[in-house]
Amino acid sequence: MSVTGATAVRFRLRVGTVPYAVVLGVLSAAVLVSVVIATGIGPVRVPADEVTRVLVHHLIGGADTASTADLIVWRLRLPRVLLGALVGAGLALAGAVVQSVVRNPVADPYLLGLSSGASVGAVLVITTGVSMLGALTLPVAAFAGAAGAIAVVLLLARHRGRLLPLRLILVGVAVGHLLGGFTSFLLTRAETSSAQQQIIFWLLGALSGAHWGLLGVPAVVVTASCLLLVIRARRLNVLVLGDEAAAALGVDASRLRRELLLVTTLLVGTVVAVSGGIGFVGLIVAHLARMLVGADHRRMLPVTAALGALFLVWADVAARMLISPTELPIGILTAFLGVPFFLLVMHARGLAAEGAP
Amino acid sequence: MIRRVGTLAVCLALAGCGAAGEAPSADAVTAVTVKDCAGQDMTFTSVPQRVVVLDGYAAQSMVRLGLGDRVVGVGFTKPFSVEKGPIQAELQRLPVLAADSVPPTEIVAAQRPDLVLTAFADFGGAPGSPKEADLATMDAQGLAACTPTATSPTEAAKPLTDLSPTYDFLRRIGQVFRIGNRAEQLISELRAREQAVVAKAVAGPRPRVLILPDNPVAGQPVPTSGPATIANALVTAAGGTNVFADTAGMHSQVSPEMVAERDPQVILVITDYSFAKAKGQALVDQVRANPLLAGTTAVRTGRVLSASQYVAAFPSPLNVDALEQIAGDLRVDGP
Repeated sequence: MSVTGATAVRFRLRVGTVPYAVVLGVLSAAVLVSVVIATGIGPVRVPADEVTRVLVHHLIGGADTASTADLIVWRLRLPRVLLGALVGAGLALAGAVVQSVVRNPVADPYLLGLSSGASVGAVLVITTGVSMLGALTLPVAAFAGAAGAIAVVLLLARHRGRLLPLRLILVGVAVGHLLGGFTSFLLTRAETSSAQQQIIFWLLGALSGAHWGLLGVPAVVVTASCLLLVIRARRLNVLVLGDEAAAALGVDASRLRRELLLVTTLLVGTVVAVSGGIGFVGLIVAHLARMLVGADHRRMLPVTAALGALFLVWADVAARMLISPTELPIGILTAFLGVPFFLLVMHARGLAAEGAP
Repeated sequence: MIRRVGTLAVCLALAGCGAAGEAPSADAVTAVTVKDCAGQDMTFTSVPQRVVVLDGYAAQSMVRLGLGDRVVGVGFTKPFSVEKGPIQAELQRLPVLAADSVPPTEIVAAQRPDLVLTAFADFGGAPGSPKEADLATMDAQGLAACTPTATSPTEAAKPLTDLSPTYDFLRRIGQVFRIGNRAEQLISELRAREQAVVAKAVAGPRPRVLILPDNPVAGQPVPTSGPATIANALVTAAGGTNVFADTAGMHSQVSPEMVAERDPQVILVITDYSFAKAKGQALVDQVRANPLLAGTTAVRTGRVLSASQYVAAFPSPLNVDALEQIAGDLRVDGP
């Protein structure tokens, strides 16, 4: 069994045997309740009954009203909370898949240069002022950057027609650093404070630009990817056993890896395009899911998506409220939570490796 | 720290024109079209009634145009601290939404503004502050002061050698509020003062000036202001030459070796940036005592000047006060 699996099983035994349906049910309910509560929290105080009234009004098909509560709760806050849930779920899923694809428990989508690529695409647009596709220019550029980066990584990581996990990580880290350096270079040449602020957005991420029009594409992509990954979950389980074991069980590991990385690119490109570079969600959430329900991807992936949504919804509430009325870039909060967890996982991994036969 | 040469004259002129000039009217129906920073047309079909001003720089412009009563909220009010003239009281009366930062989108939206103003180009506040998409959501239009930007990653932005961003912003506010004449009058007052400074500067030698937004640290690049900045415009118009007018970026990083090679005759410290290691005079004293700069002609001859970022970094009518002060300081014992 892979190191990831060994660590997860250890934790799972500790957590006990709560039925899977209960875990998933509780988490799904928690996401729904969190979305409602988070919509009630913000720098402008809107009484709970007013929040409920606005939400109920719209959920039974009411149109936008002229009230300030409607503007704040329905048009500004709820899209932001929902975007947080989608981005959280998307990044967490992408993280879970990348960890399995490269068989490394401390991998995340950013390790393969995806976010650095997206940032370069976006920052190039900001610094050059190019606006070919209007409001879509930035998201499209971010996605193109992520896709370009992963294409280069896949090309360079090929060895005699095979995609080797360690090579993928090394090439991903190298390309990520190169692109990160390029972003920093563009930052030093930014002429205005606004360009610099936008670049901070692409480096640290934020959900503050959310509006209803922004939700459609991420909603479709995250939902479709989640379904696709759950369908592929059994083969993912085989992939973590190693290439030889996979081949023995009739799975072409290199091909499956390529396919999964394409899905990951779509996920990461889409969410980075709307939320900037939010780090560490992809790293930590998959581990939490493995602790709760084990390393079987059929059980773990839906839980990962729900936990990712929960994590980012609350991280964003903290980003909005901790130093209100100023907002913290959400990437700072996810890093504050993520870095200690990163260290914990490394520690646990070390123990598991030592304890392994 | 800032000399208020001429402030009184402008305020008196404004008071006079305010009494006799146009009053912005709610029922004006003629549509007005102005350009945004990207050169796109923006049409205003009515005179804005509820204005949120995201920063103290833009608030200075609004109050000097006699539009303080339209302001329903203002953010980042730190620039008010340098205003010592008669409009200080009016600035203090503006409802504050967030004193230390640009207010977040929700707080701006709660004011139900029909116009949001900022002196930061392209609404570039910190994450969470309103951007153009947010303004559309809250049914407000936005107007920002514009400074030159690069057209490609390899080409630097056009250098800024005069205060045209400030005048351009005032002019567009005047058009939007249908008080074009009042705006033009304020602009000509300010421009006359700028030109008086430039006329005197042309005659004399042009000292080499290093602009420092912070005290440099050994082993790290020296921070300075690039050519497309208000600071560069002030130094140039005051009769100096920015020794790093060939760099790119608002906050550029240059090598300490280059500082030694270009040997500035004057150092202009732009104080009060949030990222600086000290504030006000304390920062100037640090720069004077900095061993990295001890070899420069500027430090050896004691020519370290200062101006606050609140007058010298973003488009505001107070840029002209900064210009007069810097020009005066440059001439004292000049080369």
